[in-house]
Amino acid sequence: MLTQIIQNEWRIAWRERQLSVLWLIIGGLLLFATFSGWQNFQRIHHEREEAAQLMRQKWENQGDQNPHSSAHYGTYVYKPVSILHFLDPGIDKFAGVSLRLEGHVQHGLAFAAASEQSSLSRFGDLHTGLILQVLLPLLLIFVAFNSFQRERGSGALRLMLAQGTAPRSLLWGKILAVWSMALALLLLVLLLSGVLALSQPQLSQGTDVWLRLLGLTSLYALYYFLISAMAVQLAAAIRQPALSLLSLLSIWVLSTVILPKVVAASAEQQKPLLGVMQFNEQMHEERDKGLNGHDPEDERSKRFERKILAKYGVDDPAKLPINYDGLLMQEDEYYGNAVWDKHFGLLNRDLRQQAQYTAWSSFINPFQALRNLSLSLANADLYQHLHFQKAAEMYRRTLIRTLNEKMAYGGSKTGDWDWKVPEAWFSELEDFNYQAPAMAWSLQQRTLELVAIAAWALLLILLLWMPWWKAEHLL
Amino acid sequence: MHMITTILQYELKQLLRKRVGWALLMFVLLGGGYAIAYGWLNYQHYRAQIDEVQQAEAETYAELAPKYDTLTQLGDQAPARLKDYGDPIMADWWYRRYSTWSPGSLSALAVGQRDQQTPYQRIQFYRNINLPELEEINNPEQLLAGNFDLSFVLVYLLPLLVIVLGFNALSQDREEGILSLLKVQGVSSNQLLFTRVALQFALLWGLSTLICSIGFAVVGADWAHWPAWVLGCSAWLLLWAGLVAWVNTWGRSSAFNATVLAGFWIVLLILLPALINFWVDRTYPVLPRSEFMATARDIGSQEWDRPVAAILADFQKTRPDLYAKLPQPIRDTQEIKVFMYNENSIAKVEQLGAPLMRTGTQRLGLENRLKYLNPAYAFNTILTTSAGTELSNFIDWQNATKETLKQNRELVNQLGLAGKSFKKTDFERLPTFKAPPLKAQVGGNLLCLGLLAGLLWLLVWWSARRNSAEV
Repeated sequence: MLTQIIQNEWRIAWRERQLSVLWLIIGGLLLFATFSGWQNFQRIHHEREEAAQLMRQKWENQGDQNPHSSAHYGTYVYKPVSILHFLDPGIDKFAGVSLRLEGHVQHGLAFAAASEQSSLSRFGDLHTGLILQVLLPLLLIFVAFNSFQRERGSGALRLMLAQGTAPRSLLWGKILAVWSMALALLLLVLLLSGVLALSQPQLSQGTDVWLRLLGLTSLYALYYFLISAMAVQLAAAIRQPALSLLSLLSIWVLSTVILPKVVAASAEQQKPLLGVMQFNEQMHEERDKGLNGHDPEDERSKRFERKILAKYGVDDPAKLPINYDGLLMQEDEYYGNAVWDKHFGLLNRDLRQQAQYTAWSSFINPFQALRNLSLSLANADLYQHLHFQKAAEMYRRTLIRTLNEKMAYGGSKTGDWDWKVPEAWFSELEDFNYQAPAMAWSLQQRTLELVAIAAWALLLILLLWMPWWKAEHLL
Repeated sequence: MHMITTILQYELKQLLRKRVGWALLMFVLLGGGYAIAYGWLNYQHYRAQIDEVQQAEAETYAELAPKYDTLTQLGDQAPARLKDYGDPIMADWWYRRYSTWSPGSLSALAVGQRDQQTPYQRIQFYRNINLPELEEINNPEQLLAGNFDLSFVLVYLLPLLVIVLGFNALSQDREEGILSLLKVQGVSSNQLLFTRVALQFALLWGLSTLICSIGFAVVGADWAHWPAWVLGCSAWLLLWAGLVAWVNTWGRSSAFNATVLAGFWIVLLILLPALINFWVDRTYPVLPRSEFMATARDIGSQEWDRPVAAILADFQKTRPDLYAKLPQPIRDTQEIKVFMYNENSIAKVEQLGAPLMRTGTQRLGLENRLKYLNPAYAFNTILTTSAGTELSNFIDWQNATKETLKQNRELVNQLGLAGKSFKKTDFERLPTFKAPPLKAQVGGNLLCLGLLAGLLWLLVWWSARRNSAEV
């Protein structure tokens, strides 16, 4: 019986000209968005790869150099773009993509593409994620909103119920029919994505990409089940098709357009972030006056000098067998690192709290859970961004420490700023090699959203088992 | 005429009785209220940051001024450390000044691209507009979600209200069997439709004007922009009312009308802007800046390492006006190297960065040309440009900042190349940043919306005449 109901729904959807046109449009848009998203991904990937190679080339070809000059010269690192960017570019254009690494100063990620775009970009980009998250659910609503009215009007519903079809089977049949239509399009995207990913074997190596792709597919499949179950149940409960459509559209607008903005705005009000000027000022102040405000840089330097002189048993830095300047600069770096840890730690805490705030809203809006999980699975969310930032800072620390130690112990003496290291030595220093976090880590950050979407699925299934689904209520 | 008045009175009563209508009204009022409150708080936070920058500037001056007094008093007797303050480059370095992008309080109602930009740039001798020193701290996920400001309510939610009130303007009567009764009494379906749509338009126009006025009053915005907002809302509403009327003339069911109108909403507010954005991105992609930054860094270090004679030769080409002012014969090129180096580097970096600066303007040009395909963006542009929060406003600010940077360099160059030291009175000669005049792009966009609405209403008139027998 279930199979028959599903087949019947498919037949009706196919026969209705407007619906079949809509399916074709959405299907066409999905193919177009996936292909163009792939092209876009390749362009961005090549741009960043090339830029990273160029920076490395510049670093290796800087000539014979004083290690400290080299620390000032610094380098740039680039946030690699995830291969699943073509499905969901996430925060990529709103977040900085490159980071300058140098001695003494810690920079923030810079050059978000959106800052060079007009507010047209705020209307949204055409990408697979937009169609899968926003348009496909709408199509399901259009399919489902009068799924009972049609049969009520023609008397077919009465006939089916009289022939012994259980109301719940009817509901399940219609839900599965609507759901399977979404799954068909999703399968198309999955296949296409798989083929595209395979065309770049060096980027799709390992299981993580495939697990993420599978995770994304399962996530969207689950979300479409929610939409199908909700739409069919509402269509069964509301007799007037126009009212049923209006109700479903209102829910769609509220969940996809209004609530995410309201929640984001509230999160921002709950935990406003410091302006960059104020943030830098505080870091500068603490580096200058000490983390406790009573340990000025001069005194710290004098203390350190005494310690080093005592260690080597001399009374003047000039008499040291090593270059004291290198040690002092590294000591200053250590202090700067502690200041960075404190302030970026606080900033990251605030950012995470904002993210948690939006995560909690998944319990009232499953779209929020879908969006956040999709960002996370595509490796294009805030947590991954912070992960990259931390990895880049750790690399900076190692690089600068190596340069300072070379300055201190490499054979030069205190005050010898003209001392140079051969170019070949710089090439031996390890390049930045960022390892994006695995899927398990990404999902760990989104536990709330996972629980919320599962709770929504459970709730909608439970609603189907409620006693009010009786034949007389459907008629 | 009598019949129309009767219909109007009846419709008004019906509307007032409709619970859905009241719920929607409350929804829009609450949404509008929330949007105004959110925008206002957001603006206060933004304003506080700008104020802090300006306060820091004043504090720096207060700290520096006594040092210059002492320097003047002691003259040549001043200790070497204090004498450094007489160096024009050092004085410029210590006196931290900024150009600030501070759109007025109307930006609370249309945040636009304000939240994406760093609203302050240091005015300093070495600074180049292409090489920003600061990047504002943001939560990218929040930026992705967007702002719930009044412009969002007007652009996105107002059309929904038009649809909800008007999707069944004729179909409901037909479905309930009332239409034929009304026709017998001499009321044509077109009369009925236009009267209803006109009434709904008037109500929504009143509502949008009320919300805009409340917004203007609450945030203390410049009322000179109020007509642009109200006219923009009117044209936007007229366009949507036209769509509602057009779909109603087709004589289909209420559910069909609702589906089609929802489709229009998605096409006009999601699909078309996304497609045009895609088009613009493909035609003028945002150029990656990081490579430019690294090359600029290399220009800086390579320029400094060149022989002074080569720097001088380039300087003569780059800045013949300044070169002509150098006292001839040049005694010590090392002394003036830094000034020549700076001019040469800035000229080279500006040349290198020109395509980056140009891209933004090219993108805006294309977007502007495509506005007839994208009415939602045209309406949004009226709101954001009059609030001064559009990318075009930011580019104007960048250009004004560039001009201030240039004036600042001119003064430091003038003092430095002449071997003069910086005095307290020179602070007054330092250029102060002047915000560029606000360029609100209202006329063209209003014309676009008006033309589109006019064409649509012609279509409605034609369709209504053609289908009057059937509906």
